[in-house]
Amino acid sequence: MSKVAVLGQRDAVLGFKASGAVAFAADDAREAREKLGKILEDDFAVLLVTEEMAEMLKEELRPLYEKPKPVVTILPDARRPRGLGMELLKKRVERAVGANILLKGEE
Amino acid sequence: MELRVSATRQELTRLKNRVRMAARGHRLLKDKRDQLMKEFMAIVHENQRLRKELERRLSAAYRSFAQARALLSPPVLEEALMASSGPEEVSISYRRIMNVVVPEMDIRGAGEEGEERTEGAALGAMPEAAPGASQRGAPGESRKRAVNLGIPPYGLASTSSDLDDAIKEFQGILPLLVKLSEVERKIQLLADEIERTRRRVNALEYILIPELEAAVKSVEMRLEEMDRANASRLMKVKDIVRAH
Repeated sequence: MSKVAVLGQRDAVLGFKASGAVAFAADDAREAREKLGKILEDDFAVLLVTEEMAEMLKEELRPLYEKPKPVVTILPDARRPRGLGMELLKKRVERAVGANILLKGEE
Repeated sequence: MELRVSATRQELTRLKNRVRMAARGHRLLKDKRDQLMKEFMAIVHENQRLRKELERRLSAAYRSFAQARALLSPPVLEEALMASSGPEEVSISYRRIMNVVVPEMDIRGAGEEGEERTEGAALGAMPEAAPGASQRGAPGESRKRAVNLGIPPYGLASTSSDLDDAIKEFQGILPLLVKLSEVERKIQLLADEIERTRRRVNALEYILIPELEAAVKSVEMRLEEMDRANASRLMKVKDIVRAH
């Protein structure tokens, strides 16, 4: 059985402790990399990353997209949404379909 | 680029078979691509819906959580968070969509438990005195019972109602997040497969099939040319033989 991990700034992940995810708090890139290593050693099905972290760990996260586990998902940042998760999705859709079909539904 | 083949009848049949085969593969792949696309679009739309809902709920959760944090001392908060739930387990199974293996994730018991929780809450606010009493029982037992009754397993006296709200919000969010992760991974896998299929369709349609057809044509022309050359040579030979 696997668990859910959350990686992000201390104040962002604290609340997730209550939701049943395992929270990993990191305040700078070095610490974040360390925590990421720890997460990968363990058996996690899902890794939730805050937008800020995702930007910080861009290079480290890239190989994970190819692996079956853990599934990396970028959390929409509640306070300063930058739409990084959406951006990533859009890129994937564009690559697959050859055009951006996502805009249609929104406008 | 032109395919270099020897101009023989045997080669011609072989080429024709290859064209037929390629056309069949092309048709099949095109169907596969269309079907993948259909699945893909459905999932993408689901993803958009999920993300929107998540963003809304997450910001609500953060808001009540920030309020709780402002009022409570860090150790009390930490304790309450630790007590409120253990790590949830997620089980993964795999399913195939057009031969693409996609994960399906399921949060263990979260669905029922969540329902029970809200049910407990809907049963009406428990009298404020009751939680205190149940908290004093055996810790594990009472925690489970308390959770089932919709009563937070931490001290109510030392925490505020903002915390209850925040924790409830966050608990409701996790299944949503797991679902979102599943959907996003599906999108990624399907996108890769669609891209691969599209490349193959295009390679067949615009490169392999035209090349093969051009080769068939050139072989046919060479064979006809050889036939004509042969015919005229025979006529010439006939003339020479008759002249004697």
